[in-house]
Amino acid sequence: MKKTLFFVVLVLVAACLFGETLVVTSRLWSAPSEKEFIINEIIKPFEEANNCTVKFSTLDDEKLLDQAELQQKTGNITTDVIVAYASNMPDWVENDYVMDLTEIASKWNDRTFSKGYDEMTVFDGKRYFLPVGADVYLFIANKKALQYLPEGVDVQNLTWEEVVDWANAIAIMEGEGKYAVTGVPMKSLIYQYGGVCLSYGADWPNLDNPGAMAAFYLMSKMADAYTPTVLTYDDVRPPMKTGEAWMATAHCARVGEIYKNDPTNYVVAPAPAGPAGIGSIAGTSGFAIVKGTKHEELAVKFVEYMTRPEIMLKASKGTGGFIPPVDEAIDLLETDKDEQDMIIEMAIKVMQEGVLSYIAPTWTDWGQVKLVYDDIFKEMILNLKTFDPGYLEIMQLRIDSLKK
Amino acid sequence: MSHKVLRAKQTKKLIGRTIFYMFIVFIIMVILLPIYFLLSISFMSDQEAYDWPIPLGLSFQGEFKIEPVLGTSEYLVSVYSRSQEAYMSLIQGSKIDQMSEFLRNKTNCNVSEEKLNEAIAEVNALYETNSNRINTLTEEISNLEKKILSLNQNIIKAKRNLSIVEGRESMEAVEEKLRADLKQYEAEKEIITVEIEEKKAELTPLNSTHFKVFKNLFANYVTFFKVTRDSIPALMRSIQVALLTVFIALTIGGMSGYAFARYVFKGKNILKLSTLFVRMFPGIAIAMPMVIILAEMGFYDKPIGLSLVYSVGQIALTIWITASIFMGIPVELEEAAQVFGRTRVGAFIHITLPLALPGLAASAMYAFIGSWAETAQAIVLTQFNPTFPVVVYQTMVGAKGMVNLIAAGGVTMALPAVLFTILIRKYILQMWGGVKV
Repeated sequence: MKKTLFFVVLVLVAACLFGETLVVTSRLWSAPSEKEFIINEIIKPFEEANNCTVKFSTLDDEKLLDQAELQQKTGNITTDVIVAYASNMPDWVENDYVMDLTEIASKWNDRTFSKGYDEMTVFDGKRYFLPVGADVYLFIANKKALQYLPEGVDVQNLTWEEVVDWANAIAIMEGEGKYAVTGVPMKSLIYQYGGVCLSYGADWPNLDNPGAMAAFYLMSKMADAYTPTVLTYDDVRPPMKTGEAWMATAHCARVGEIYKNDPTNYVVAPAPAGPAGIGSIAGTSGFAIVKGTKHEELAVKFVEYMTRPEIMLKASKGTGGFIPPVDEAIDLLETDKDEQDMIIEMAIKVMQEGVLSYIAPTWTDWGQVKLVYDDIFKEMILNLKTFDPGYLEIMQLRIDSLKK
Repeated sequence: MSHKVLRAKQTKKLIGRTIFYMFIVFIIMVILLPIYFLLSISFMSDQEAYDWPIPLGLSFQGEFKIEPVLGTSEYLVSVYSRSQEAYMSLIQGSKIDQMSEFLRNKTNCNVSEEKLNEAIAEVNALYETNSNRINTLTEEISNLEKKILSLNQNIIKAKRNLSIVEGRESMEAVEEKLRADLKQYEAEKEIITVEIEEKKAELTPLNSTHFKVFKNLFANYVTFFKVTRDSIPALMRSIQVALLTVFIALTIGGMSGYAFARYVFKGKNILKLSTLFVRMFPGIAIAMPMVIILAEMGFYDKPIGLSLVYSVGQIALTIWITASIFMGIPVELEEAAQVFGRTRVGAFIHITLPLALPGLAASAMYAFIGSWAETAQAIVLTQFNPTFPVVVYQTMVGAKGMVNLIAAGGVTMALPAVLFTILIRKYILQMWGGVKV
């Protein structure tokens, strides 16, 4: 009897000491402060409640896919849960790397994944990804720019015409432009300009439509309003932080980071509007469980925990400006908000009221589509400084050739 | 020799020497300045690192100013910027704990809640005494700022119109009028700006108080290790990988180098040249197939696996370096040792090897640095046991807006390679520096 008891105690102690380990690799929350918050404030309680260890690490989308390919090829599946971006989700599904979560997710009655993201996360009626950390574009300006704000303009309700006027006024007064976009090729210029196109009713990213033409006509009028070093920016955060640039329309989490880092010197607003409304490119990341995981039960528990409305909201509040893409989390924000949540509120406003578009999985090489916008920016806007519809039509041919 | 010729010679010599030293200083600056820059940024706070122009000298304390925000229960805290030579506002609020945490993160200065409370008490007392004058001055400043805003609009309008009429025929009178208006607006703006500055100068001592707090110079390093999970095991793993690579490269490469130096055989030169071919393939291109091979061998995600991959390239380099060294050591020395009773291996160990040490040290240095700093292949070839460059890379990817943190990571990563080079500097100097020991 004593021996049996000893054995049972030993097994229990071993179980306590050697709980399961769940490996989570994410493209989201890669900023050090965000990572620290997620590990300490979100994941730690889950580890304690489930007597397990969660190995959370961040990796970019490309490397994430490389690792999955390798694990599937060697049959040694070591990653249990991944967080991928919307534009890469089709690759995960087409390669059969992730599990179908439709049945699992349908059992959770306390949450409704925002419908707007179903197009990205649901494939052929099956839910493979659970959206998390959705994003839209917001406008940010250094308070130094306010001294040149045209009369009667409300920063919280800007139109693109007003932004152009304002940015040009700054360039006149300061002797150089202060507007920032990501000028380094293949970064996010296509999204920054995509917002303008959508606000003019364009069929983004196509260029041969009246909306896109009107948007590019307007953009060509602010050729001198960009900072002289705009072509060296791969991210708008550093020039905004140094004060080299004063204005930008950027990803809500990046805007949130700039603002929270220096709240007394910046104003944040929803992305500017056009005749069609507030245009913005929207996207989301999503949790998925890797096919062949050895810890399926724990992985399901983890994604269930991470997509709970209160956890989603907590994660969004602690990590800058991501939108929690669960309706109940947005409702919760209404009852529990403080000044720090302004960024999330604005992002939700853009998401709910804006004209949104996302990267459709219809491109052979999205990087090349990005490059078309980069070339237009460099050639037509910065070099020629004139609106050239013929040039845009030629560039449309390049875009057409990239369609699947 | 005439005095004139002598003088011309002296001048020429002086110019030559000046140019020479200028060149030396230039070289030193090219090498040292970037290193100094990286180091100094790694010690800067977020506020300093994004101050423009970035101050080159290190600061050891932060100078803060606190003032009440009129009409609210909030306070505005500013920090002195050496670049702007002015106080820059940092945070406005009433929650002392949040303000203290924000200031600690932003300035690397531990501004305690007690310190803030003391300063607030002081500033409240000041306000009590000077409230009337403070309110008057604040209102006056606000009115003057409104005037500036209005003048800015006029200036913008005038400049825009000027750019349209400039150089156009029959528009001279309009142009002249616009120029006159512009001049007048700018003059008015200047007067008001001076007036605002004067009023602010009067207001500052009435409604604000200053305090200094020492900076935590190593805060970025602490943060770096805090946010980079498993950085210490990764550091140890990297050292393990680098030492294993050195061992493999020196053993195989050194022996091959000796063979190439001492033996004559058919196709020797082509074979020696062919060892360099492996270095011509981009490592990342063969990383994926390598992963599959390593996984099958059971070496995937293990230091030995990475060392084997890195050694492939390093062996070739070691062969070339050691072969040239062994060729420079006369074979007669080995023969003489054998005459005096040494075996062939004994002669190699006691005579040739000590003389070849500089070459082996140089090869070791290349192998160490090459494997230490490699990231691209390590990302693919590891998962749970990443090397230090991989964890640094992962942290840096997300830390784009935190240049000081990136600098701290960079310095931390460079440090072991620098230490290793310093340790074996004697042998490297013997090989390339011409120093005899």
